[in-house]
Amino acid sequence: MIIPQFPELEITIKLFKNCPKESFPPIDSNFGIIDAANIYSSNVLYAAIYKAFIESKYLKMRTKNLNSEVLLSLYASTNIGEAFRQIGLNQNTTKNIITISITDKNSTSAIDQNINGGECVEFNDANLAEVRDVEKIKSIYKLNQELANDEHDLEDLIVNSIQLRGI
Amino acid sequence: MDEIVTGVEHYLTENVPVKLISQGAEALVFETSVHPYNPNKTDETYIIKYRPQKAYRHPQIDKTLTKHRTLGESRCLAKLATMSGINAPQLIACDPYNGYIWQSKIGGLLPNGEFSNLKNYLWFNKNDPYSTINVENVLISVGKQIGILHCNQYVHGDLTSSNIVLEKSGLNNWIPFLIDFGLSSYSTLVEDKGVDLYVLERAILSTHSSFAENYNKWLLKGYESAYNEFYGAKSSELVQVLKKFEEVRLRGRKRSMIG
Amino acid sequence: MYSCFTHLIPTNRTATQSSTNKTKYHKLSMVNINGIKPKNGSYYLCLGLEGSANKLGVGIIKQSYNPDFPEKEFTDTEILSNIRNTYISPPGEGFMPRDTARHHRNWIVRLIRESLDECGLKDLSAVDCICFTRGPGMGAPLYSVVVVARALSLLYQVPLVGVNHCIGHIEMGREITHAANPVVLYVSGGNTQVIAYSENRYRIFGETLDIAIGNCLDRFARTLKISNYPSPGYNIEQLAKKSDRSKELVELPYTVKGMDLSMSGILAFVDRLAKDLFKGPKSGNKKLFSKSGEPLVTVEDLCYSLQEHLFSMLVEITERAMAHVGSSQVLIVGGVGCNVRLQEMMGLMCRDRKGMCYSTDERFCIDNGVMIAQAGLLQYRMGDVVQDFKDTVVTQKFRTDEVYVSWRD
Repeated sequence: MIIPQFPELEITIKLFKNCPKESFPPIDSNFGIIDAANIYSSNVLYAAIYKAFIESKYLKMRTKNLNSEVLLSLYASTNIGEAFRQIGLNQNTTKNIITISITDKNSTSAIDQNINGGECVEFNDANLAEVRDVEKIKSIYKLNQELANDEHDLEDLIVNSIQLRGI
Repeated sequence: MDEIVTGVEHYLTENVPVKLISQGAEALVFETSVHPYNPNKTDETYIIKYRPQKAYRHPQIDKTLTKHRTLGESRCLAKLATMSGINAPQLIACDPYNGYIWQSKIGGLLPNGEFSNLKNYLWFNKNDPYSTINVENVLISVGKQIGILHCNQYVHGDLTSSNIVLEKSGLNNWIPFLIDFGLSSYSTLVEDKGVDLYVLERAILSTHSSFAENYNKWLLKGYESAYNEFYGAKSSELVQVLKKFEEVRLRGRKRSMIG
Repeated sequence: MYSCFTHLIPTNRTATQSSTNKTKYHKLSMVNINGIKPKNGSYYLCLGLEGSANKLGVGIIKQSYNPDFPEKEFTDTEILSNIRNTYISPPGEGFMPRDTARHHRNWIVRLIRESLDECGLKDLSAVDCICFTRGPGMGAPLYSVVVVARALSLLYQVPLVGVNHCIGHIEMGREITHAANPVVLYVSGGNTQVIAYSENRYRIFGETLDIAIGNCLDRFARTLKISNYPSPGYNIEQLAKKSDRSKELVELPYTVKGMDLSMSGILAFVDRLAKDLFKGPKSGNKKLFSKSGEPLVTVEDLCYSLQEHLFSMLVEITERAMAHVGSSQVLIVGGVGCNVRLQEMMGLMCRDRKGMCYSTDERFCIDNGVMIAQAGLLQYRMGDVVQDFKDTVVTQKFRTDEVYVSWRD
């Protein structure tokens, strides 16, 4: 897929379920790795990608590549290390992983972002709803209970938080 | 003007076709059917608000204001989404570095084909005695929206009948939405709330002169009902705001002393 | 208090209706302002007296009488005389009502005599009406002028017309620039208003919530002890031109509230900076002085920055009113309106809206007698004259939207 405003960048997102711990990709892979439990919906991840593109094009790139910029955008503060620990893989990571790679449209070298042993399913809201951890997500975005009751509202609040992070 | 639109089209690329729908004082408002980032959302219309550089003002003032207002409006929309009872557009994306905000589209067309903001609605209904009760209800609910906003310690900063948009609901019912939060701010000061009310009263007086007295009465009725719900009946919060409102009004009269 | 006579003579209307010409059709809706015949049968003569603040103005104008061609949009006013004398107070001081009134009393007869001589008139018996400023303004100066107007009216049996000062500015601006239906920015010593015409009134869409722009500039000039000659605002404008543009602008508050604005906070802020600047490095103001005590900012920079901020706000509220009422014309009137930088900024704004900006020079921007004559003669031609001397009582408070504008539709 592409973000309409940034047609030169090709985005590939994959969702893997039940990945064996030993097959977790190393942190320095040439694609982004996200613990799927942290992603409330596809819209949230897309919003973070958009935000990462705007920031890196019009302000500055804070990390080494766009894949990691997306991880940073997903987090509600500008602390890079913490963002990677919280959003990416850590000790408590569930077995469900999202991989993301952003490449130049004209680039010929395809990136292998598959995870051996994991079950690759379509990246969509139905599949995400099965693996997300709503309580953890609420704590990441510091959303308290009374605000976040309605399903749709919660998504809006997360998107708002992503759009306004760090500015 | 045309160069500004060309600049917007260049920024958005040909993947986001836009239609200019209004030229406000500080922003150009475009409409598009393309969602900024979610490829699955294909059946809605979105608003892109762009604050262009103003040639008339010093670049330093211009830069500060554009960034301040784009950010302020985005933050305010995000904050409003957490308040219960407030009707406002949903923030979708923002680019404060270039002065762009994406938000959900509010409003449609009145029976006469005009855009459904409060200004056009009041003009449309002013000669129809049968619509009085509907107009009264709409203005009461507008006043209520402003009341809720103030109870949550936010002031709008630019209340006019153009900045209130109506969404149709049922046959004759319209639900008001507040828009244009570029001059909004968080404020616990009664002074700011009093000024907010005064600015609206004045806008109604000048734009809807013939019926302004009733319109303002209904707006205030709704405003008071919001305070009564939030703080309980006869709250000191309401008394203080109304007192300040009267004070700001008096200042206005005193002002016309010297030519 | 204002009676309205709207003369719509049916025969005239029918005459224009029969025409298929599109522009004529538009003019069909014009109000007929030829209901009252001039004294000499062919043109009107009118004396205008203005003295609501520190300027005393006397003007005599001539307007043609067109009973057969009544649907003209403008009055083809010919200015026969436009004389002004300004009371200048010492630097650091404003003008006090009592001193200003004394100045007006001392000069008014001389100015009227001079004015009549310029037009070759022996006395006032030939004029159709005498117009005076009823308000708003300072009480004592207004009063000193109306007394003369009443005396002349009795002496020569000429009717009186009381005029709202702001309406005078607007009508003069419209006549000079031929701006048909503009949003008016009225900026002077005592007023800051954004006005637009609707349903027989000039309605105020935006205005200052505290002090007026001219007042703000005058008071800043006092702090800086700048000369009040020819006017404090003019001197600030000249100083601002000398500011070094490559330097950073001194940042001041920016306080627009919808279509209204507030200026007292900015004045207090810039006043404090000016006082610190005079105090020197010992003021400890890091914005104004470097560590070694070198001044970073000059008086010229402060003037420049103040103008840039205030005028940006004025242009912004004007643009807000234009967007709100859907107009593309702007007319700047009032004393501050002759500031070239303000005119330039307004012009740039209008260019980006594909609109037009109209302004006049100091002869008409600054308070004058001609503008009172212009608005007053329009009132006279609609039959609005003083019936009783009790209607000539001047008033300090007189809002622009109180006047029923019978001569427009």
